[in-house]
Amino acid sequence: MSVVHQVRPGFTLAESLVALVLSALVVVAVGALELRQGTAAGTALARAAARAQLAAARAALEGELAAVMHGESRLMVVHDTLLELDAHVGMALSCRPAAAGARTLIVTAHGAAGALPTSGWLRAAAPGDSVAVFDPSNGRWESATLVSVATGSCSPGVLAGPGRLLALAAPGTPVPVPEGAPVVVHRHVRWTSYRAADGRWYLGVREQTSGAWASVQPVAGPLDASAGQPRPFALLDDAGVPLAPGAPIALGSRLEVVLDMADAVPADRVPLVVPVRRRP
Amino acid sequence: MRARVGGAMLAVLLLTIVLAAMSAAVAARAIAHAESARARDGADAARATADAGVVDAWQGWDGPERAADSIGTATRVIVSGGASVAEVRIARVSKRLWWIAAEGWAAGGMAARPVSRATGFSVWLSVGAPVPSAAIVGAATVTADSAARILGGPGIPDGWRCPAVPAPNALRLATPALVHAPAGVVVGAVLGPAAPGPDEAALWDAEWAAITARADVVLGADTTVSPAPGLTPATCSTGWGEPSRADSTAPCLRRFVVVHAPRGLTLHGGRGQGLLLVQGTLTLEADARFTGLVVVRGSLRGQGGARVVGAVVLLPDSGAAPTAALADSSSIWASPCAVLGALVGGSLVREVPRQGWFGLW
Repeated sequence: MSVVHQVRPGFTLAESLVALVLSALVVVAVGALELRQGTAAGTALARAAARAQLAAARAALEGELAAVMHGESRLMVVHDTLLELDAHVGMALSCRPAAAGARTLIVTAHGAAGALPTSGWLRAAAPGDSVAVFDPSNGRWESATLVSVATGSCSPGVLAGPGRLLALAAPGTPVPVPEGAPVVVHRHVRWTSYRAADGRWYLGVREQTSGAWASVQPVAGPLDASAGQPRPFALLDDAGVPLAPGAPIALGSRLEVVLDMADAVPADRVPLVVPVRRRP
Repeated sequence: MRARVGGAMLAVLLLTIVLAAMSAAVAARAIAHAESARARDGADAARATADAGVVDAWQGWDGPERAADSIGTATRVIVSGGASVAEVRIARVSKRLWWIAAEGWAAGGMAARPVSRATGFSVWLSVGAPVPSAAIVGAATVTADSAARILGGPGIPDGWRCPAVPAPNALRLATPALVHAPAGVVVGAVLGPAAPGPDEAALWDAEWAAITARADVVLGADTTVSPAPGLTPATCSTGWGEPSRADSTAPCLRRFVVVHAPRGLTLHGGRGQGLLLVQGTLTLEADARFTGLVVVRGSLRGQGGARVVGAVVLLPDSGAAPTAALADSSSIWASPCAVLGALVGGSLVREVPRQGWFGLW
């Protein structure tokens, strides 16, 4: 009689132990990898958010700084935490003649004059803004104060089309305003780094309308506050050497803005520098 | 055949899906960055081309051409800057104001949707006195011999493009009885003090200081010069401009000089165009030719075939009445076109002070 040994598939105890150990190692490795990836992903997300904030701040600041560079905005104070300027709101051309003392002025709006660009606005005009009108009879800019803005209509001619009616405070336009005279609107604006209710630091802007300062509006953040209050602004001399905070602003000096976002890496830190083209 | 139970295929499939998703995310991010960079480059290129178009229009400012613009008209030029293009328009928006605007486009991001940037530049004629309504204007005594000529207009210098204007007179004087000239010398109307309109001489007198302050050339006392237009584009800025349009490629056609001679001047031959302001005695001789406006605070002497095309304004000098004496085929020919070209072509047209440039969008 022969004895038949039945072969059963299976693992020995030793094999099972080895498999268990190996599986445990794999699980630990995968877990560690996952943890690292999660951390890296979190960092990347935070960095992406910081970069997005930086892009938003740059977009907001670029128009402002371009206006400084073109001489359309006038720097008033440059402190390391504060930038105050007589900021460019916008410009347009007078598109209806106005007599001296007139309380309304009609200027070109977007779409006026067909394909001829005649106006550009960095921000919406608001009551209390300062309105400067060029007087070609004497070569001077004359000032008035804006009371309100409404829609208007330009005279037929090269500037025909939709207009904006600027109502001015008494005594109105100081001089007769011919068609085509440049009209520029300005407003006091302060850019600043400030601490928000969440305890973090942000870049914000305050605007003066109707003689009062509005509350600060956040533009970008949070800023890197590892060394205390962020100091994004600096005035450089013509050799690029930083001047003391609050130093007098001179033609030829340069304004530097550096935004350090929390969670951003040094590679994202690109300073914006513009020359000062208009005497304060 | 042994059946094998395994998860290799599933693992490979999962890995492939994960890798594909990661690759897609990386690619999408790269595309977004590229789009953003392209949009930024496109915006910069559009801005640069628009700015360059305005600068070119201003540097190539053509006085007579712009003087001929009627209010409310615009001329259009297309300029190309490699990957970008700009449309430049020069519009005369009122009597003393022009608006140069350019809108540039360049291929940007978002499936090459064009990016647009616009720039505006305001230009201003800083002199408000009117174009003289006669060849000679002022409270002056005028004498001329039989070979001289004082001609009303409108004179149109050869080859100049001129706006349509009412024909000016020969003389506009405070006292017509002070004209001493044989018949046929003065061709055109002679207006007296009762002529309608403002006192043109007084208005030019009021502009004297502002214009002399902007002079390109200031001469010494009792200087004699034979002005030349400038021989090359590089020397135009030192010359007096080319009034002849016989050669349309001549280098200094767009140069209109503003000359101030505070203590007398003799032009001995030569030619020029623009504004000539002389205090004391201005002597024109030896075929000297000047096209534009001559303002003399004192006396004018023309001889030897000298010729002014434009107008002469005579102002009193230290209370003494001005005089004009023309002889030897010298002539003064009224040309509002020449005066307008001189006013609008020279340094009296300039950028609106403090902020003529505007980045519109």
